[in-house]
Amino acid sequence: METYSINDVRYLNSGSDTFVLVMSRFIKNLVGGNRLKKNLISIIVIMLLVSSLGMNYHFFNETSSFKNMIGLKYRLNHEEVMWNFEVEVFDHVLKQLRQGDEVQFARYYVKVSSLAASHRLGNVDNFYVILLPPLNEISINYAEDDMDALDKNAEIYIERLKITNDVLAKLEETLGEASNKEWYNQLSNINSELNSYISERWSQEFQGQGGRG
Amino acid sequence: MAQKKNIIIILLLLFGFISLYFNIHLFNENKSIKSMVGRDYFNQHAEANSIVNVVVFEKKVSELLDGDVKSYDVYRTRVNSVVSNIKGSVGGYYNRIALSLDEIASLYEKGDIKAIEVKAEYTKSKIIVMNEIYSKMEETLGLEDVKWYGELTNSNSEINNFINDKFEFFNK
Repeated sequence: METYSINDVRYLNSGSDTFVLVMSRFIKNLVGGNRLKKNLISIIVIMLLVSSLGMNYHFFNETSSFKNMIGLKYRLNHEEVMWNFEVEVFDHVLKQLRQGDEVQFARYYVKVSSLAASHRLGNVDNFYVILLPPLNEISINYAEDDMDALDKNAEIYIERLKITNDVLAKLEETLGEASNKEWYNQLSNINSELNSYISERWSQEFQGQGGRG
Repeated sequence: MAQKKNIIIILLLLFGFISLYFNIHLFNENKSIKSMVGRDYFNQHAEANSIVNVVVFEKKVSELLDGDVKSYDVYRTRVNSVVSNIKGSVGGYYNRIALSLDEIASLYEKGDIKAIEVKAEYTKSKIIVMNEIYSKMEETLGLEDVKWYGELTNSNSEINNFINDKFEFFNK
């Protein structure tokens, strides 16, 4: 009975030895083992990669919806400006002014200056700014009852209006059928084909007389 | 076998870096657009507040009552122009005010001075609320462009909740 039990204990001991040996190898493999370590690293790298790609996707979507939104705004701005900058509109207003209707002119002036202030369209801005001085002069000429000067300033204004309309027509021609995103890309990039054309045109027309009122 | 795994890990890392680089690029672009749009919002609201203002409004109405139609008409055009740029609920509120201004002009043409005074009082109460909204914006958003963007486009932000609370007042 006693011997048997001793044998039994011995057997158990050798069994636990083997078990400890196997376990310690396994743990060693788990912690320091080359293969598992590498697997772990690849899993982490893949996870990082996937989340980074996910972020990319998110940012890309957000940015392109911004571009669409701003492009749409440019498009609407363009239409509103085209509408208001027609030479006929000014002719009508000027006719009214000559007949003594100051209100129409004042409204026109406010409209043009607020369009110039709030409507960004790439380099077209330059053309708006140069529209304002002659308009201002006209209102002064009217107040001073200097009709000759008024006629002269009206001529300058109409000339500038026509150049601006030319540029706007070019915009319409280039971007009329384009997507909103294209409107954004062309107009927000200073070096785009369209913006280069516009600034070239501007220096062609107003070189040397830029700041004149 | 080990060689192959190394190559795979290196490739993955490379992809990871490229992807990170794009992330940074897109994040920056995103942020600059947000700040651009935010600055636009700020400018629009500041401009609108300087024009749709109790002091200016009272002056213009008294000028109209004195017979200066031109000054009032110019004011009306200016308000319409500025307000049309503003989107969202606030834009809606501003539009109501612009409509009230138009109504006052047509009342003047009819010569109904009494009705003008009533309408002006009504419009004034709305303008006061608009000015309140703007002060609240100034107070909570300060001069941070990105914040202007973030808070105004988030329909559940503090400022938008404040704005939406005024909805009933503008529509009763």
